[in-house]
Amino acid sequence: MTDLADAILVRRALDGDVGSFAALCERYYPALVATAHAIAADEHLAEDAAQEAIAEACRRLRTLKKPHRFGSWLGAICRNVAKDMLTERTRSRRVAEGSAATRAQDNGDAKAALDRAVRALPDPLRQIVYLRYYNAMTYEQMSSVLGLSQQAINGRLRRARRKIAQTMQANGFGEDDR
Amino acid sequence: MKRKPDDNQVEEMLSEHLRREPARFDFDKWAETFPAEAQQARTGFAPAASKRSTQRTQVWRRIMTSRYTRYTGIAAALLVGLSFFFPGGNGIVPESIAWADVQKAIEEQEQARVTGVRNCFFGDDQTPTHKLKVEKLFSLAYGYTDRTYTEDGTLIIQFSAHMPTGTMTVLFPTVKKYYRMKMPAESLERVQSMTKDDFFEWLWASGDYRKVGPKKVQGIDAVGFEVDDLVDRFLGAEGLGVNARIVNFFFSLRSMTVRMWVDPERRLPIQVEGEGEVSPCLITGYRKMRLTEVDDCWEYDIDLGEGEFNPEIPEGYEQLGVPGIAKAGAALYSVGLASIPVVLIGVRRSRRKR
Repeated sequence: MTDLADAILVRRALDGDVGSFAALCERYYPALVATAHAIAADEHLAEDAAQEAIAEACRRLRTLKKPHRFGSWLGAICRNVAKDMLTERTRSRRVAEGSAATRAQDNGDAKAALDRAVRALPDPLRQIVYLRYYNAMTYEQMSSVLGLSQQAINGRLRRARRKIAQTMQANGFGEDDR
Repeated sequence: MKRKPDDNQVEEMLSEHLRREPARFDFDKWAETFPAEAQQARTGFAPAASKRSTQRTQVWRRIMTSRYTRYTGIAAALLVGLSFFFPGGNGIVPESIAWADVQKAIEEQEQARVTGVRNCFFGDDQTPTHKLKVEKLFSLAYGYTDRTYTEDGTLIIQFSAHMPTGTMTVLFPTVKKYYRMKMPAESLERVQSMTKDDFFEWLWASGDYRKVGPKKVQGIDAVGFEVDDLVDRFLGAEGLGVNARIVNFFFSLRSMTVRMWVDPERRLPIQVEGEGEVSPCLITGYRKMRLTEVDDCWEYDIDLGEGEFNPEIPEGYEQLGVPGIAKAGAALYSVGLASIPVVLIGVRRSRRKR
């Protein structure tokens, strides 16, 4: 079951085979959590968003025109769900916790500098960084979630790392190295 | 002295600090939280079938609820889809090795800026009634922006589509107006999940194209590719589900021929030319119009900020309200079409020239 192509699993799921749907979810769940974490910056919210995205996919599976694109379709749903959840959360508890978190991170070590640099990345680049480094995902797996070619993924990753390095430098990383 | 971490160092740090154990999905636990959806999964998703398939076919028509803004929305959605034209994906014309080479070379480019000139001719005039300058910004990550200027460089319209958020913005600097809208979630998902391959499969792969040239273009013996049935693909049965009668009422593009000239050494486009005829319609003041566009300056590997694609609304700008939008609907629609890179070329008559 785990090796079957998405299109086959989708077809079986539509025929009422719940195991196939569960297999699809298991396949993409780690990527969904990583994507949502990149957007929401909160592990718990990320899991909630991933689960909600699967529920949304459930509601819309009949509308999926290209079953072999299930991964990128589900990824797009997850991104939107995570953004919506983040907006909701930001509305409900505005500034206080955010500023506390910033202070907690602001301890000058390399990890904090890296966190800040990753947070400063534009959304699409941050998502790609999370997919790659969160679960050590392969380019092929990333490609199926993002619907991008492997060259494009490689290009974006390079750009993301370059931007991270620039931000870290601008924030004082390596000031003690002479 | 500050030291910039090198690529390997950043890679190591990312691997070390972001790494997590892959999250595991437990269907039974999930089913406790989403019992209705789990039930759907157990019964083959039957309840959603009739309702959802209807929605699917209407997705492009339902972009906006207002009948005026919908015209803009459709154009903008076309635009977003077409912006995938650059950088292109493999498979645009699969049987052509040369095209594949071009696509591969373009694939490497994440961002680009293209500038050119758009001319509008009325009647049998050989000199253009309106000469406009165009600037197009492309970013694989952020989306697409199209600016139209008068001949003396006054910006008259800016159209931006910000892909990550699905925000589309139209600025009218000469009258200090703006219009901003969000694509509904379903449309956004559709566009975001559409890969370049999907798009080209629909738009190009089944169509006719021909090789032209070689011809000296900008001092280079360039190879050309030409297509002339794009209008049918948008408005035909296999198109985007746009209501052709409504589109033609505003902007009746009868035919359009587009040529892309490619530098055979770099495999990258150096010039795109388009020419077409517009039947009498609202945009043209119910006159026949001919238009041409030449995009002859292509800059690759440039750094474009996200703000270019999701601009701040400048201070003092007013949102186009409902009465205004009715009047401006046609203009907005033309902006959408005008924004479509290299293919469908719209027209906006500058205030100065009226």
